[in-house]
Amino acid sequence: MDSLYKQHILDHYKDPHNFGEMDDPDADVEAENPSCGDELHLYARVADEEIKKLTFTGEGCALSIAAASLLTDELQGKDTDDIKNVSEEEMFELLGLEKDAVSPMRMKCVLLCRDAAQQLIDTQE
Amino acid sequence: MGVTEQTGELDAETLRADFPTLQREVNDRRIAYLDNAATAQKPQQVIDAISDYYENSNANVHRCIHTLAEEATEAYDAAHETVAEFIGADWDEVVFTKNATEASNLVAHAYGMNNLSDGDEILLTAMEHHSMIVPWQQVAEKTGATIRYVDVTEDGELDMDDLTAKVSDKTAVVGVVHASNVLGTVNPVQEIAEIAHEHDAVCIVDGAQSVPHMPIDVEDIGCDFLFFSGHKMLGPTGIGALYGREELLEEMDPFLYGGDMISRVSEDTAEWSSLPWKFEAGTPNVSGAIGLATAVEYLENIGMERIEQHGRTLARDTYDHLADMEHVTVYGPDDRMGLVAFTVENAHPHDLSSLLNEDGIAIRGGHHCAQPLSKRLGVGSTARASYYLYNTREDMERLETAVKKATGLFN
Repeated sequence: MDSLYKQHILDHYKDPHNFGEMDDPDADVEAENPSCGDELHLYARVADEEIKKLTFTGEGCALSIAAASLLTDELQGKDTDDIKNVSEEEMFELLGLEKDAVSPMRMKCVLLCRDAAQQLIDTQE
Repeated sequence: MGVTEQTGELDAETLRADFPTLQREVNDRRIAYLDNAATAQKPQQVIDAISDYYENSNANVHRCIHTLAEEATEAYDAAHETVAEFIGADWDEVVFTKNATEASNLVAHAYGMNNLSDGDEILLTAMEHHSMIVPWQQVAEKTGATIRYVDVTEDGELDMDDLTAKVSDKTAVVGVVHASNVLGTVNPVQEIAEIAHEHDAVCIVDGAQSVPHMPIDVEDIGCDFLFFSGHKMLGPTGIGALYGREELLEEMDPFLYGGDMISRVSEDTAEWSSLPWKFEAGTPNVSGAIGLATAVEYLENIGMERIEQHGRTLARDTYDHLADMEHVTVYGPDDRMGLVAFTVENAHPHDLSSLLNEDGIAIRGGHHCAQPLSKRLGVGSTARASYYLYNTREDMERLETAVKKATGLFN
């Protein structure tokens, strides 16, 4: 069996990118995944419908933290509309995982940050 | 059955052959099932008994005279006797419920709601499962009673000094978990029941993690109520049991109302059936009861002392080996039942579960339905390996190897 815990994921979990609070964010949202107890706080600087900066804080499992690290990297400088269209497939691609490598119980971990980002954009509209 | 000898150490490898689920592979490895505190696997004997009932004797109980109904009724009533005898109770003191939680609710509603009032105190321990805590929170809210919690020492034992300090003549109920599902601690329930009675309080024992794993005699314990579930002791899901002292059960109002729990019904009123049927409204879980009784017979055949010893030995060795590993913390006292809760530095318990599952090892990660205890331990959640009679030294060694691997990956 192919392990979920590839070096790529472990690296982003141990040393996540864009990790930290933001002073005076234009938008922020808190999300949690009760099954793992993951907690994520996402902050955004937005101008002209473009994501200028995205950071996060929180605690969680390797999948949710690595996903947040990778997704916040990916979304810097993107249009807010692009965030709405991030698919499950794209999340797996970012993590470098086959979709069937993740059990249904762990799907929430993979999607926690994406869902939070989409919620954050909704609050902007 | 797979028992080769009835004395000395049990032969887990041989017993394992009785359990169909343990024959399968997970991720190309023979499954090492170490989540027994959540639920146990079922031996073929239990599965066959349930199938046999549906294939040969299925009927409603306590109602009809035809052959199938008589066979079903006889088997259902005999299941009460088997289960009652297993815990040293009289057969009419054992009520079948859906699970341990429903049994706990039965006591909280039928006893607590009617007997407690403003100023009364409910004394629970800080290591209770939600199944004890949450129903009594409702009783407290509705009756004006107050809940107090007995502390746990740093070693993971119940602080008996704190219990003695907190119990008083205001105490109406003392609720205590016999064996902690997180710490593995076995609480001195006999002594606690005695203290409760000195203050005219009733003593409720949560036996969910003790009845499946050690000899239990409710007379010896001296408690007023004890509850447990069938699925943690090789029986099916959907069946649990409540022991209640006869005198108390007689005095209590029913919990649920309807068919089978009445002796006579008029348009305006009804009279209750005798014990234990007064507390078993509606068509009961007949196949579940038969499955549970078969599980009890299976356990008795092996011997509860041997089962307890087997689990304790595996858990004690696991505890010692994990405690020696760098980046690993183990919880609870040295003297423990067959489970070990632990954490690996920088590894979320769900990642540990996932990682171990990749090697075919099933453990639990989470707060184990004891969130107040997790809070006191100062950890959000823990990983837990829990053993039963079919777990082998090989299962234990695979767990240890996988945990060792995890310490390297996450640190």
